[in-house]
Amino acid sequence: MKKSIACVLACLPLMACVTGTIVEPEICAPISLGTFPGSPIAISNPPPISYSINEDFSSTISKIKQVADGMAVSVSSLDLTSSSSLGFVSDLVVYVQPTDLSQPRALLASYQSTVATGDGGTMLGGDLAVTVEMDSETLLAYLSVPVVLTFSVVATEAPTTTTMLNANFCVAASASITKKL
Amino acid sequence: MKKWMLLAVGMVCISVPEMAMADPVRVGFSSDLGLPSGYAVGVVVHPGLDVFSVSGSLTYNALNFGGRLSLKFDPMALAPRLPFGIFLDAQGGFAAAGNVPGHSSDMPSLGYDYANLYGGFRFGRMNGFHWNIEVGPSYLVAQTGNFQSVIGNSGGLKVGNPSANLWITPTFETGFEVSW
Repeated sequence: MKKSIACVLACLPLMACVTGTIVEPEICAPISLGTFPGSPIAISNPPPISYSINEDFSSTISKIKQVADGMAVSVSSLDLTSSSSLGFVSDLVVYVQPTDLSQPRALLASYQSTVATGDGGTMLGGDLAVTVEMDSETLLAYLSVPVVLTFSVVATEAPTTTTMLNANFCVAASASITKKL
Repeated sequence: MKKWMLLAVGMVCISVPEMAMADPVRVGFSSDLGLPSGYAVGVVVHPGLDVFSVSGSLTYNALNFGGRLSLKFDPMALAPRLPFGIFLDAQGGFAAAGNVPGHSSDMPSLGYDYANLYGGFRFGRMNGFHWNIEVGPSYLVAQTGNFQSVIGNSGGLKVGNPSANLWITPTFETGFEVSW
């Protein structure tokens, strides 16, 4: 009897474990892209303009990986924003590529306007929600190293004034944790 | 083994005549130490039925204060003169968000809610002073704060505060309880 109790008590520390999930609700990169040139006279189909920005999510992701495993990331929001109207934007494509060129440039997200040409000009202020095209696993592989984000903006008609463009790129991460002592 | 069984049966026989059909309401206090609750002091009430007790405690886990409610089922309290017992204890509590002292700017704050489902041993009579040892699993929902300070200046990134849902097995609690 005594031996059984002693055995159970001795085994308790061996069974000690922690299991669960850790959630990082958002890691956000506020991005200032630059300006889209305006034109006082109507110009149809101006050339697309690309903006490239370096971002580094890797240090934050590695910190989560240190305490957890089975990590997954997702884009919680990716928006093109401006204090002016973004009605002139007909297409937006966002690419991602590691700065060390270890992987090829890949499509991260895209946006295509459904507003008829000219109608979007009535929009006051702008916030275009972009559709994410990359799966979680690939996204994690890319964001585990510093990357270059390239925003390619296509307009069907140039805006009448120069427009300041910003973007907000937010990533959410979740990871499982299993630690046995 | 037989000796133990005979002893147990003998003690139950001695105690049975004292079993109360309707017990008085008993009130007492408790003090214990454990994980994840920390140090706790509380009030215990046996609501007219000794096999059940309810307690509310003020807790402190070195980061901040919290609270804990406990509902205990002690079937061996039916034999009040038995100097030992086993019981089940369901607990729910919280620890308010707090920082490691002296590290409020460079470490995240931590607060959590938890539920414990314990089995325990009681040493001493239920309606007097007794010492409890409880062990079991805990489910913990933790929320950090000020996490940006841990990451530091990470290239202009804004980092939200992580949360965690965890099962921790085993956790424990030990301390005394006195009731009259």
